[in-house]
Amino acid sequence: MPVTVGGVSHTYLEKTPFEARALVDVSLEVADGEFVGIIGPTGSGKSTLIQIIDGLIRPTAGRVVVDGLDLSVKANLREVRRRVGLIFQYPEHQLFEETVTADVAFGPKNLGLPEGEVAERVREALRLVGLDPDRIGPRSPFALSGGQMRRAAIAGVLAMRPRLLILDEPAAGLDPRGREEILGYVRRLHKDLRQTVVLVSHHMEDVARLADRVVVMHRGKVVMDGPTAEVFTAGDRLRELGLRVPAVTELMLRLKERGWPLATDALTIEEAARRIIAAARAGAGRSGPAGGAPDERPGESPTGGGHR
Amino acid sequence: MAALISTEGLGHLYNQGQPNEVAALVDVDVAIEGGEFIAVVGPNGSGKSTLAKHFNALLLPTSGRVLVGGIDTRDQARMWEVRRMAGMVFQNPDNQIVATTVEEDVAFGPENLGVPPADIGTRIEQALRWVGMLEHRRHAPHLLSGGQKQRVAIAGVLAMKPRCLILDEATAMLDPVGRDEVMATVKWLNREEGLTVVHITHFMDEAAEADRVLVMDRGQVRFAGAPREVFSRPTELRQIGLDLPAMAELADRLRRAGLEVPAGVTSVEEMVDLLCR
Repeated sequence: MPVTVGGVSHTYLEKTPFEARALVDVSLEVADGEFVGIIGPTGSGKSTLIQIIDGLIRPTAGRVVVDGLDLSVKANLREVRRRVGLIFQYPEHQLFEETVTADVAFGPKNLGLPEGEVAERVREALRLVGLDPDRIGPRSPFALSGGQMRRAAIAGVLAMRPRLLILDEPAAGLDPRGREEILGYVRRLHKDLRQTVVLVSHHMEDVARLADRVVVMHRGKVVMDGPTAEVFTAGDRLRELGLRVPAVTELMLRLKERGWPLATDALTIEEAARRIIAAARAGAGRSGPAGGAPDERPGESPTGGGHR
Repeated sequence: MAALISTEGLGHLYNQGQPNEVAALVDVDVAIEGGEFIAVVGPNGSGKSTLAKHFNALLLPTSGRVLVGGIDTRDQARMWEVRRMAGMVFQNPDNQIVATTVEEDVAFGPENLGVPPADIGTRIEQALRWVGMLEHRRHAPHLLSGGQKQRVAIAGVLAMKPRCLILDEATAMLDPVGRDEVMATVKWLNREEGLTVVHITHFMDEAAEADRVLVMDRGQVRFAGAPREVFSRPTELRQIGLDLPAMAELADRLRRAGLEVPAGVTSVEEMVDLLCR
């Protein structure tokens, strides 16, 4: 679902002593089926921007068009909120029904859909986040694990069949396995169902491996916008902006500085490993061929650990 | 030398004796020496927070015992001594602010302890200097960044002159800069002031900076050791549902491909040096 943000500015408490400029002339497009990551330090305007796209905040200047609907037209707001699924941080705090099924059904019921369709959507939404509708559906949401509660809350938004899904730090506070699960389901929604996704996160590693494109915000402005690999390999620029480069990218940049013939745009550990192994086999980093040369057995390189 | 904090056969049952009884800790023996920097990792529900809450008598054992500075935490008469010795900082910075200025917030703890007003001023100043927030002393806490708020919360604990600082996922809600700020502050306090630190975290990269890592799973300490040792056990960690710091994960892959990289490498610097030597 295409989104166009054109010259949007927003000032909180305008014309008061507490006036705060949250967004300054922001322009941005999200194309249908894209996965866009938004990164930036706390206070850079990320959450104001996503609330503007969802029609929750009315910008003080500029134009926002979501799926062809102009947000300055009040009559469009309701429809836009239906088409945009905004998942805030810790969405499980908003679970309230007695069963998971009832909780996920709440939104579609409010749309006035027939009972059969509501039930169908609930089952579909629960499956999309890996929760068995028959086993988990009848249970109290409060009896679930933290990761399951988070997924149940996300199912509640998916049951609305949003055309654009916006997630603000969806894995915050979860353990590594819970984090992997949530992000895995988000990735599948995008890959398998071509769901348009906007992911706001402080976790560079997660954004690096999920997003096709990254938008960097700083003090209310979009300061970088490009393909993920391009943004993350601009290490110095990101650091200037108070952001971090994913550890693997940092490593690739440093190896390149030390003369390794490597492409630095690896975004995942797998990719980095593949490139380092290939370069090492071609002799990078050492005077002679490194560990994995074809005539050597793995792990028993005669060049030895102490060879300098 | 006796450990600063030790647990002996520590068990904790929530809802003891009821149908929904849960064993959160099972027979845990740990000893934390004064001046150590300990990271505690483990999946949600593995007992990390429950364990930490025993270190300052927020929870009492349902079996076994906990000694803090030689005091049994079940000794009601000395509970406040224990609380003063081991101060805790929690996940959400906004739930921990009680006052309208930074210095009043930091004063809250020592005032409650009955510290004479003349000393309170000195303590606040020192605590805020230690966390690098002295210039913000008259600011409103709610206008600070997440990392700054957590540093103020740490100062609030420091003003009680504790021997141990316990961070219960205190970096979980922060942005990368905020996390770095808190980690740098805590490492400095540990190194320069000899403060004992217990840091509960889901971020393996943070755990890699500790002296020792405790790995918890289902109410027990599964294994413990220096980060290098702990992170050279990828299979066991993955089984428990944990991951590795990015560099340790990469090292594991490189080793399996036959490159000479020792297991348990955790920093980018170390990896660069290893690959370029």
